Amino acid sequence: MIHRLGLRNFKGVVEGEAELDKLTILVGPNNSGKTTILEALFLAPNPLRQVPYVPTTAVQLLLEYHKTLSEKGYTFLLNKYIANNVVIEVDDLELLFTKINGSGIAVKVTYLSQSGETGILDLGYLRPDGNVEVRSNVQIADNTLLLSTKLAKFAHEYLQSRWIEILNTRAPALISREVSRFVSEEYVNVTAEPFTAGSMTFYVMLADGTRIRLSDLGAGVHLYVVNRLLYEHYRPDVVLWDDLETHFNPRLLTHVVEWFADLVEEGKQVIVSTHSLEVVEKIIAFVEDATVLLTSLRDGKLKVRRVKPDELKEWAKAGIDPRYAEVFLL
Amino acid sequence: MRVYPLGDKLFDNIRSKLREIDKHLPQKVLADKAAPTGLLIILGDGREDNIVVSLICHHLNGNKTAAILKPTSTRYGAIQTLKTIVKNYKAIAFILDQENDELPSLSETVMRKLNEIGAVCEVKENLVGGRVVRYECILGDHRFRFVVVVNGLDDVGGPSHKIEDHLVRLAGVAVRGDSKDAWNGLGDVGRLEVVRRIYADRDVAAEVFSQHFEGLGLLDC
Repeated sequence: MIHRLGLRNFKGVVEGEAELDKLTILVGPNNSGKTTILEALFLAPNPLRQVPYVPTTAVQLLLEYHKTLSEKGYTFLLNKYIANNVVIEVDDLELLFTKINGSGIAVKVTYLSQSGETGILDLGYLRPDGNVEVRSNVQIADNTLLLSTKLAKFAHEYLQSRWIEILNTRAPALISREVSRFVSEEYVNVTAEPFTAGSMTFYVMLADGTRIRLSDLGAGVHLYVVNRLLYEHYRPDVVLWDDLETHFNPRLLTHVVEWFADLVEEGKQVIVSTHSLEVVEKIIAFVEDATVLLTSLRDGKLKVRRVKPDELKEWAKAGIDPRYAEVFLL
Repeated sequence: MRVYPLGDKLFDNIRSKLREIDKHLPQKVLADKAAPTGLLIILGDGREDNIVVSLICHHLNGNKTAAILKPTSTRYGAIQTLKTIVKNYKAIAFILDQENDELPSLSETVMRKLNEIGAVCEVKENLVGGRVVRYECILGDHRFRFVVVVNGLDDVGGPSHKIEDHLVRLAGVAVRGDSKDAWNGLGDVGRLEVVRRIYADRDVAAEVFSQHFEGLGLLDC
């Protein structure tokens, strides 16, 4: 389990830290550092490791994820795009991004060896053209998987490339039956099959054998199926879910939250971000000892306050919404 | 003074009503960002108070920002809110309806409720015929000004006085019985016209809502 995250000069955060729990809910206004925390945690085990998306390297995925036009390179990781050194601390490990040769970035990790000495491991190099040189893809912290609406499109190609492995598990059938409880149709499986000439697509298969293209389903169902398939295939130690409230009907959302509760019981860690206090309440209802962190980001300073469920109730009674009042509460 | 609602429903409520008057009005009346100025307005009552108070604040104190909130507990119960939030504020206005209470008794109840949450307060000013009372308080080691503004006009309505006394006075309606009934009787268009006038005519608003102008003016300390 990851207990502590510290950030220096990472993206919009000049400085900040957060204590994490088995199930942590990040709540706060827009631009308050929630996604930045999740992305740091996603990179933490090794930015150059393989992840279940295309692009297949964690840091390359983030590059594509944030791309708007034709930008290349990894300066988006550096605070204000100019910081020379970025640090992501996870418990007693320090992941270092150091700008060299203009806009290339060296990636190293410092760690405490069993004998108590500090070691440095060279993980690789992020090239200005967007390519990476992997020197070690060793996993240095609990493995994390970032899930979000915006990432789902990067998952399809990966799932197709590994479909033969996924097909031979019970996951597609189980997941499709699960989501059937929240829609009018009865799904029995997920398949990858031809669509129009020469092209492939994912379908959900109905009990009568007819198929519906996965992307033609409601966005919530689509998102849940893709993310569950990714999880079941990749089996990370830590699930990171950004903007949990997006697309979900309350019933399906309850199901997702119950899944989180199961993961926590299995010893996994779950960290989610949300704008919705209803989501926070729902999670607390299912995972009593979930930790709520209220975040705020001002002038690069990430502030995080651990909020007790009782405090949330007290604020609600006082007419205070922490998403409006974080300046006063932090 | 711009207001910054601390709650989602209150924000939507004020903003939607302001848009009914003029779609550009929210930008003038509401602050976009929370500014830690130490000023807070607590609404103890009513569905009309939020828009009335916001518009009066608009006429007062230039570019300062005051946070505004509406607790779920109404009237004296809203004073409980101070325990949760007081340390962030140095000047707090509390606005509530008089209802059937005598003003001295209302003032005593407010003092008792303040004492119940552990605040030690002293009355420093009694203005507008007892409808504005300024207290200076200490809660723990935090000092703050607490200004109580009591809605109601003696010569309007029945024995129960409230924000609607002012609104029907502004509407020029003769009231027999409860001012709230008279206010509701104006219909959507009539009510909107009155609220629009609070925004458009500062002098008339200041005359009809004299205790609000006086009391909210004391926030800018």
